[in-house]
Amino acid sequence: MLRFAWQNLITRPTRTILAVSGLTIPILAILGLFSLTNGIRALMGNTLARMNGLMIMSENSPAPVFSDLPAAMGDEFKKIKGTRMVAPEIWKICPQLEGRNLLARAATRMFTGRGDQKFSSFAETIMIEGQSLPEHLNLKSGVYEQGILPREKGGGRFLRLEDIGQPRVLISTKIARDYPGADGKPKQVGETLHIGGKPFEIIGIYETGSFLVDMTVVMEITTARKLLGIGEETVSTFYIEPDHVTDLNLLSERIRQQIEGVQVKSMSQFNVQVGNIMGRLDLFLLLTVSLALLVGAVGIANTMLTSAMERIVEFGVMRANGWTRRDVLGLVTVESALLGLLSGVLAVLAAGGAVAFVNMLLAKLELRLELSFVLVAGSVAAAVAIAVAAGLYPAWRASRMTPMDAIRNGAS
Amino acid sequence: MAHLEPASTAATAEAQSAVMIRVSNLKKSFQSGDELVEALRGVDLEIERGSCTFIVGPSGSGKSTLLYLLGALDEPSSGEISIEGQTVTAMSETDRDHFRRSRIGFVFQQFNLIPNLDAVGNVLLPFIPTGLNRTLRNKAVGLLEDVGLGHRLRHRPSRLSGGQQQRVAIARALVKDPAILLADEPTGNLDHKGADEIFEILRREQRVHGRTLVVVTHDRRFIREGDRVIEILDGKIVA
Repeated sequence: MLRFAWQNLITRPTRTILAVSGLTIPILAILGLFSLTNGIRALMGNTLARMNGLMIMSENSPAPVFSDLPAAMGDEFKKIKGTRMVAPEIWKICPQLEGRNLLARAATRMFTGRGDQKFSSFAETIMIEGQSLPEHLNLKSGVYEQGILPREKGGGRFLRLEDIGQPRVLISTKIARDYPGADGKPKQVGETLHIGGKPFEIIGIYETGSFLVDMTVVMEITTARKLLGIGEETVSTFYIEPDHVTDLNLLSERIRQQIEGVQVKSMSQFNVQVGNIMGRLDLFLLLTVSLALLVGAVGIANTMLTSAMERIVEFGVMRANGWTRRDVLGLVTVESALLGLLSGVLAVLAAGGAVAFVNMLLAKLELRLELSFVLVAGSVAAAVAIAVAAGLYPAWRASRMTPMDAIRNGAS
Repeated sequence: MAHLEPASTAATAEAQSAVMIRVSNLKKSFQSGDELVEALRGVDLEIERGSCTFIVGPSGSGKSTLLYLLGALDEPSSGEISIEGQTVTAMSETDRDHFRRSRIGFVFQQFNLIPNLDAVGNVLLPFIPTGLNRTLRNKAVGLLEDVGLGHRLRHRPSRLSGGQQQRVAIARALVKDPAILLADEPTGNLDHKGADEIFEILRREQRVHGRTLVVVTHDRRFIREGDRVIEILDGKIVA
């Protein structure tokens, strides 16, 4: 039966190709979009997993760079039971770096760069983080400090107390590479980086492996205030670590109860929030792609209905030779399922190639499109299910005629 | 499949008797627009086992309708058909499907081969849903060789002449080892030579294998002495 159904499809190649294309394209879109959201989800998870603490931001601010809090609020946090360390931070989007802003640099790369450079710059926004050193130097989970490259690789050192007020910065290997020196080589420790037109000495180079974290220029907080024009009475966020006996969620709850006008985010909460956002994004994408899927399903239904009507006599002859209604129904349904399977497999192959190509373009970013087994299996299953559903009516039409009606009506 | 088993002593006796087909007061009418067309108006007949019967009559007289009803391709408005003692008109749809697959062989005027299948595939058509095996394939090849198509086994219908296509259709009818061969104008689309060859094959099946042959035709030149001829006019047997 399967072989017969397959023969029926391949002997009408044009119609089969059109029907398969109609379903392949939306399935391909699903695979592409969901592999992107999977990649973003993984990237966010990797980044947030590196931090073990609470981030305090002003209420309703979507990200640290948009948050402003009174610096004096730090004393209130210190009083809360279970707090081990309260580390003030300044977060802002980086002003001109080496005389170029983001858009100018991205546009330049678009025309002069090769391969992945052409596109990756559009995904990059450099941020400044100013750290209050007395506190940050005593954190247990110092992401940047742990990420300093070994001395033999030119990693330099982390910030020290003597760097307070000094124009010294840590940059990532990525920033060093993206903003090379006059000789075209990546910036090295001891060289100068111009931020907002001002010279800063590079004292350390780090690499955390997280695309998002590695987009940060780290400096001491008073240096950041001078650069960004932020007064001493203001900070962007507080990073709070619990003591060794206090659960992070418990500390988070205490802060919420005792301090108003702030939002408390644990990194796991960030993860959940990211998951929720990505979930909504997935739903939105699914709704959008559903329209294309509907069009694909209509195409399959149209193909199968036309095919069934053309073969009325054939079905009559089959019935005359002992085929039951269920056999005819099964034949047309198997043909629909094969169309769906073909669409799903083609979409997976195309998506696999596209994902590999895009990942090659994004080679220097941590972001990777992820084509998971569940996504692949789900897409193929969905393609088959949609095709079978679309083929049910044509199959029913084909099976309901009596053999004599089919032979006579088809012949006339 | 209850109807296909010898259910009673009477049925068993009839299954073994000389009468293969018994038709009682068979009527068939259908709606054509506003008009009620009475295709058959009370047909009674008996056809002997292993006989050759011709149903003749003008176009629209009801002869093809009678043939299709004998083959359980359609349901009568009233009346009864029994074949080998089994009342076909009382069978469920599933039983009729099984009956057609196992006991009846059809040959149509238009050949009605499946264009996507080669000659062997077309012969095996009845068994595609139930599954094919080597025995069935060998049988199909043997039948095609018997009808002179051993060199056309892998040819699709589009590459066969009309006569060759009809021979494939006959092989398809025979692959089921049917007790009854029903042919609706089997030579209607063939030239004289092709028609002669087809009738020779049909006659051989009737003579050698004892199959009951019922043929609807306009062409009386194939009728031989000893054949039964049933003439239908306006839905009634007139001779």
